[in-house]
Amino acid sequence: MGNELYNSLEDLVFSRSFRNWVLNENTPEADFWSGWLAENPDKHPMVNQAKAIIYALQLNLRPLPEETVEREIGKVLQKLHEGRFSLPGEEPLRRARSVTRLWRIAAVVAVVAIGAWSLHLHRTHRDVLQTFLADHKATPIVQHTGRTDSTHTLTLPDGSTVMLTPGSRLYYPEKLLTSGHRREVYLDGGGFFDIAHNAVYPFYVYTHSVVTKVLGTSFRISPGTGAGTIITVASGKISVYRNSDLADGIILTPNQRITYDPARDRLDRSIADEPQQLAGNADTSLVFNGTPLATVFHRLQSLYGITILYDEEAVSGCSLSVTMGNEPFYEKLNIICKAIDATYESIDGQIVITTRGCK
Amino acid sequence: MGSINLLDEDLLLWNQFRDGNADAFDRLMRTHYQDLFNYGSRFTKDEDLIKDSIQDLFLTLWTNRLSISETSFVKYYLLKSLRHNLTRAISRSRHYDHPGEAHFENLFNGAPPLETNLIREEHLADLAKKMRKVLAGLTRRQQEVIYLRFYMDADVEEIAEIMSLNRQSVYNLLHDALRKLRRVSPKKAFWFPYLLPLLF
Repeated sequence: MGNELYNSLEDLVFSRSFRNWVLNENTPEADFWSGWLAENPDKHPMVNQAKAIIYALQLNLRPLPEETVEREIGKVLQKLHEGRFSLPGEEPLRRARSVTRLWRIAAVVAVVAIGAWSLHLHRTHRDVLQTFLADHKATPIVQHTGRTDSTHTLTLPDGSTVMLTPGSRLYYPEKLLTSGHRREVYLDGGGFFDIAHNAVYPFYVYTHSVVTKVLGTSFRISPGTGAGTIITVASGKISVYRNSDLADGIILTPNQRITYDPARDRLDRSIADEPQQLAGNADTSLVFNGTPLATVFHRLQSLYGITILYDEEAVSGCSLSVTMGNEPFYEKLNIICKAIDATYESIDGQIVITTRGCK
Repeated sequence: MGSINLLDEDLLLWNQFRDGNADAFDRLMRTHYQDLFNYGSRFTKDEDLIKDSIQDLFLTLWTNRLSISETSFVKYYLLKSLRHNLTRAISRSRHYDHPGEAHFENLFNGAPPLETNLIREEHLADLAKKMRKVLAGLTRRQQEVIYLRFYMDADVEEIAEIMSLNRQSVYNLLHDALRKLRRVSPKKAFWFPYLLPLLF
């Protein structure tokens, strides 16, 4: 506990240890806090604020009487025992109607009752593949196995190309197009996809953990750690869904990356490790001479397609005089931030700049 | 420290429950009932509706225990499910008189006034009252984020899951609220009592 730093109001207010001490002097951490207080006299005004906030947050909520809790739990157990009850979500959610037959199976198991939250469905590769194959029973399925020691590129009937990594497999209905107005493939392993554009027939890539929907774009799918999956977009735009919840997709734009964590059944969006400048940018120069910071960020945003969030007010007095060339994206950010004494963070696929402003 | 042991126990109970252990399920319900009820109370005063929603949550949970996988934080999973169930139930029941979404009710407005005799340091009583005022003036979403952060120890990511917001929004809500609180200074409290006699 002594290793944590308490530098901000937030650190104190939300520290259980600090709160316990404020509300009751005789806690085991009392020694730590009186010591810390003595060592940080400059922090006393902040400490007083934190204490006041903690007092203000005390609501003395009346706890439910134990008998009530007992009774309610008893009711649940009784109903389960008798088996006579209906679950709340048994009328289909509006969204579920547009889901194809393939996924209605998944939806039933996922219990639409709980709605947008997935029940951390932990489906194995085998289950999802079986469902995929079963659904395309009417047409012959092509199974393409990649090479064992090198990548292998194949061309699909619509002109899309898939570069499979060693040991990976791709399954798709012979004609690729399904009756449901989709192009569908199942990927076991990893690959780089360059999808031919066709707005009428969106392209779906199924894996054991996630579904990726594209219109026409290029992106990479790689197996992540454990049973996870990583998808990075090179160009275009895709949306990614967890198998457990097909109503709730996350959109990825170029230079964004999504990682599926099977332990938490969660999709985490972040920025690609090495963002590339977008194709189609005629002017890639980055020469700034007393340029207002807002303009600098705007330029960087257009070049890389990555959203940069910053406090407009704080930044209004800042300007930059620097010339940048082929440095990697993060290096460029470092250069800019160093020049204006700012820091940046990558949050949910976007860059957030923190600065106190320039004098 | 102490809270880590609770998490392990929670996880153990969760896995036993998934295996069909009814006692573990009972313990799980008991452990989390109060938190669920308190959170539910933030959305409606209708206690029966809250209890019904919690009941539905547990019934569904048990019925689907075989298809549920592991989870890192049982508490947040349950809070999110309750929020979803309850807000839908409230919206539906409001349909006829007040159509619209259910939302987090103001936590501090109309709460019993600050019990200043419980504040050990007298000089902080005024500051605390000011903080309470600021808290009551926060937006509903800011209050919900503070509620989850402070009373439920949820972090930004967990709050985003529970409230179905993206992380950036939660981050903004939290920091805006803290910024307002940070601006409250005790300085004014010093001159006021001195000026008061001058008014008479």
